[in-house]
Amino acid sequence: MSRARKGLYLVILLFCPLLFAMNEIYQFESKTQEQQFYDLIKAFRCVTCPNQNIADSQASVAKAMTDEIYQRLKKGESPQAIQNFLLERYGEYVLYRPPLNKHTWVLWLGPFIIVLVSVLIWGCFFYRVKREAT
Amino acid sequence: MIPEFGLFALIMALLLSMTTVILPILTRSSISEASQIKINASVVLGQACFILLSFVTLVFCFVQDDFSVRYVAQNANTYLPFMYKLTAIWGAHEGSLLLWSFILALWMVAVLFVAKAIPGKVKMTVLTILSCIQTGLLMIILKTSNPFIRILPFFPQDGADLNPLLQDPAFIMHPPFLYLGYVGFAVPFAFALAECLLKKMDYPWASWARPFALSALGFLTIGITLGSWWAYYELGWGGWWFWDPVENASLMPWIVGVALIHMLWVSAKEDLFRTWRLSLAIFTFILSLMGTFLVRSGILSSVHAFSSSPERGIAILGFLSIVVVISLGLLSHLRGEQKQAFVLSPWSKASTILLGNVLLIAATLSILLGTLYPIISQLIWQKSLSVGPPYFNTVLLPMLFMILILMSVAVHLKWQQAPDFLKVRKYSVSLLLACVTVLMLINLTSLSFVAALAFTLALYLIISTLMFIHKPQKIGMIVAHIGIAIFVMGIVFVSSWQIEKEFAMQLGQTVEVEGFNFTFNQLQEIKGSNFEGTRGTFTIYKDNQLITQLFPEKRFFIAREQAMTETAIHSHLMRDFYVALGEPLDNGAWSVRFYIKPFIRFIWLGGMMVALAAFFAAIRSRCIKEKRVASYEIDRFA
Amino acid sequence: MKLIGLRENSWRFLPALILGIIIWVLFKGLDFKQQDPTPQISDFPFPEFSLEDVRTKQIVTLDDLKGQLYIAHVWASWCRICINEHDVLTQIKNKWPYNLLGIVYRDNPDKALSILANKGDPYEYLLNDQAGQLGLSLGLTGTPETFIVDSQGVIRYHHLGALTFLQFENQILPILEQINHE
Repeated sequence: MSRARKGLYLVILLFCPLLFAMNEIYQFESKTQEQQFYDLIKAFRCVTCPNQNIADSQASVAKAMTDEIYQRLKKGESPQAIQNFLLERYGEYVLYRPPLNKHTWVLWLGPFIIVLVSVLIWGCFFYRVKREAT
Repeated sequence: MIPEFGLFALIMALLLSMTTVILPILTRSSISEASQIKINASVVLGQACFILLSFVTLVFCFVQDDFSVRYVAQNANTYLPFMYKLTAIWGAHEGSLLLWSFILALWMVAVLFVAKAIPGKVKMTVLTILSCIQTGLLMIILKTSNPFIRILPFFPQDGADLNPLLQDPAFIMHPPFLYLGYVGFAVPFAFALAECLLKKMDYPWASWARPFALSALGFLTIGITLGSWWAYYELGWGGWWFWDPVENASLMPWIVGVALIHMLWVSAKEDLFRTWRLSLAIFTFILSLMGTFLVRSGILSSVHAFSSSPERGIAILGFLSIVVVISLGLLSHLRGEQKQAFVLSPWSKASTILLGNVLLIAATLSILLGTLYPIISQLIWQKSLSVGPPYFNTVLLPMLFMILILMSVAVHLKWQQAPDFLKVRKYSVSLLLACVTVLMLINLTSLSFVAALAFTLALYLIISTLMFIHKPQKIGMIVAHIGIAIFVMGIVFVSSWQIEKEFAMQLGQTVEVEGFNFTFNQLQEIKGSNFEGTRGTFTIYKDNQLITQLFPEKRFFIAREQAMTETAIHSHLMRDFYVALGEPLDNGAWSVRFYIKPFIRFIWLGGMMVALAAFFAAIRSRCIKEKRVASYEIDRFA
Repeated sequence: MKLIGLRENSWRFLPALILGIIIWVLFKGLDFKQQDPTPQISDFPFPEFSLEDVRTKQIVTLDDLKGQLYIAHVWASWCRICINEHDVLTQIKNKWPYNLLGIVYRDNPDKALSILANKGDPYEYLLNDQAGQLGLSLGLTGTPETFIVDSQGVIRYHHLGALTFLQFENQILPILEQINHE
C-alpha cells in the first residue's frame, strides 16, 4: 500500500465519528462504493448469530453474504437492489434494524407511548395530590 | 449410592419446606407465637441443611467423575481441569436450578440470622413466603429437572465435557453472582407480601427490606458486569453487549431493582408511595422469574440459552403465573386500607425520584417489548423479525438522557417542597454552560451530537454529585451515580473512537493501525488438558518502542469437537489493544482482527463502582436500621 | 362521585392487565414452538446455478436436475453435525433409492472428498458452492439443511438443521411419496 493511500485511510479514521471495520481484504474503486459497502454490511443481520450484523460476524453464512454484497456492488448493482435480493430470500429477519411498517409500528412507537403515558400518570398523581390538599 | 443420597436430601428439603408453609396455618391457635417462631426457624434451617447436602453431593459426583449420573456425563470429562469440575455443576439447566434453590436457602438463612432486629412474627411470615417459593422450585426440580438421574446399567466411560465457553475463570463465576441477585430480590418480595398479609402499617417495612434489596442489586450488578466483560474478551469480536434475550432477561430485574432501592430509601425516610413501593418489590422478583423462564424454555432462540424443553418451560411459566396471581391478589387485598395524606410538590426530591422510577419502568417495559416482539410477530403475522442493537440503542437513548438529567437535578432538590428561586436561577446558568460544552465538543472533537450530549450529561452528573462529597452519609449515592456517569463516558468514547481492522497476514508481516505497528511474529501448536490448537505471537510497537506482546489462540476442544477463539488483550484504563486470530487462509496466511478500544475499561469500572456502592449502602443501612429499630423496639415490644 | 372514583381506580388494573398479556404471550409462544411446525410445503423454484461437480470437475446446471426428484443436502467438512448426518443419509439411500444432490458449502473440496472416501458417497451430483452463492440464493441460514426438489425444479420442502432417520421416515417420506404419485 502506498504511503499516500495509508495517509488517506488514517485521515478518514481520525475524522470519521462512525464505527467502521476497515477490511483490507476488500478493495474498492470509489469512496461512495466503499461507504455503500460498509453501510450495507452493517444493515444486515447474521442469520445464524445472536443479534449481530454480518460486519461483526465470523460465521460462514455471514461471510458468504458479505462476499455477495461486495461482488454485486462491484458489478454496479444499487444497494436497494441488493437489499431486495436478500429480503426476497430471507424475509425481514435479515434486516438488522426492524423496518417501520404496519407490523412494527407498535414496536417503534411503543416505547415513546409508554414514556408519555407514564409521565402523564405521574403528572396526574400530583394534580390529584394538589386537589386533595386544597 | 451417593447420587441417590443427594436425591433423598432434595426430597427431604421439599418435605421440610412444605412443612414450613403448612405449619403456621395448622398451629395458629394451638401453639404460642414464640414457639411457632422457634419451630419455623428450625424447620427453615433444616431445609437449608438438606439443600446444602444435595448440592455438595452433586459437586462430589463431578469431582469423582461419576459418569453414571446423566448430568455429570453431559457436562464433564476426565480431562476437565479440577477447578471446572467444582463449578461445572451450574453449567447446564438441572444443576443451575439446584444452585437457584441453594442460593434461596442461603438468603433464607441470612434473613434468619442477619436481620436480628425484626420482630419474630414478621420474620416467620417472610420465611414462610420464601418457603412457598422454595417448595414450588423444588417441585419443579424433582419433576422436570432432576440432576441425579442415572444412566444405568451402561454408562459412558467419559463425559461430553463442559461447554468450552464456560471453561473460563470469569464466566464460571457469572451464574452464581447473577443468581445471588435474582434470588436476593425474593427477600424484598417476601417482605412486601408479608406487609400485605400482616397489614401493620406502622412497621418500618422499607428499612427492613432495604439491606436485602441493596445487596441483591450489588450481586446482580457484579453478575451482569462480569458477563459483559467476559463476552468482550471471549467471543472474539470486541462487542460487550448484544441485547440478546438472555442479557435482557438479566438487565430488566436490574433496572427495576434500581427503581426499588430508590423507592425503599424514600419510604425509609417517610412512608410515601406505599402501593408503588410494594408493586415494585413484587415486579422485580417477577421479572427475575420471567428471566429464568425466558432463558430455559427455548421460546427465544439465543446462543446463550440453556438446553430447552417445553415441559420445563411450562413448569416454570406455571410457577410464574401462580406467583403473579397470588402476589397481585394480596396487593389488591391491601389497597383498601387507609389512604395516605401528604403534601408533596412535584418539584421535590421525593417526586423526582418517583419520576425517575417511572422512567426506569418505562425503559424496562420497552426492553420487554423489544425482547418479546419477535415472538409476537411470529404468533400473529407469521413473520420473523430481528430486534437487536439498532432498535434498543435508538429507543433507550432518550430515556437514558432523561434519567441522567434527573439524577443530576434531584440531589439538589428539597425533600418534599419545591425548590427556591435562587437555586433555579443557578440552574439556568449551569444549563447554559452545558449547552456551550456540547457545542464545543461537537466542533473541536469528532464526537457526533448524540455522543457529545451524552458526554456532557455524564460530566454534568459527576460535577453535580461531587458537590455533596462533604456529606459522608451520601457516599453510596455519590459512588453509584459517578459510576453510572463513568459508564456512560466509556460507552461514548468506545463507540465514537474505536478502530477495527481486519487483515490477511503472513508470518513476519507488519501492519500499521493509528500509528501503532502490529507484527505477526510467530505461530505455534499448543496443547491443553482437554484441547489442542494454534497460538500466534504479535508484537505491538509505537515509534520503535515495544508496547506489548500478545498471544491470541485458536483452540479446538476434543470431546465437544468445538473450536474457540481466545483473544489477546492488552488492557489499560485509557485504551485496550485487542487481537483475535481469524481463519487460516489459502496461501498460508491468517486473517487477523485488530481493535483499538479507547476507554472501554470505563464501562466495567462504572459497573464495579455501582456494585461497591450498593454493598456499602447495604451495610450502612443495616447499621442505621439497627439503631433506629432498636429504639423503636424498646417503645413497641417491651 | 362514583364515576370519578371508577376512573381513578380503573388505571390500577393496568399492571395486572399488562402482566396478564405478557404471560399469555409467553404461553402461546411456548405452545407455538411445541407444535414443531412443519415447514410449509412450499413452491419456491430452485435457483439457477452453474457449479462444478467436486468429483468430476464438470459443470452442472439446473437443467441437469430437471426431470427427476432430488433430495438436496447442504453440508461442509467443517460442520460436525453434517458429518454425523452423513451416516443417516447413507442409511436412507440404502433403504429408499431417491436421488441425492450434495452441495458442499464454502469448503475445501479436498477435505469434502476425503470424508466421502471414508464414509461412502451416496450423491448423484456433488456441487462445489465455494463462494456460497447458491446457499444465499436458497436462503440458507446454516448447515446442514435439506431440500426436496421435484422434477420441475421446484423446492417442495425445506428442513433446517440435522436430519434423523426417524424424522425422514415420518416427515419427509410422505411428501416424497405424494410427489411421486403426481
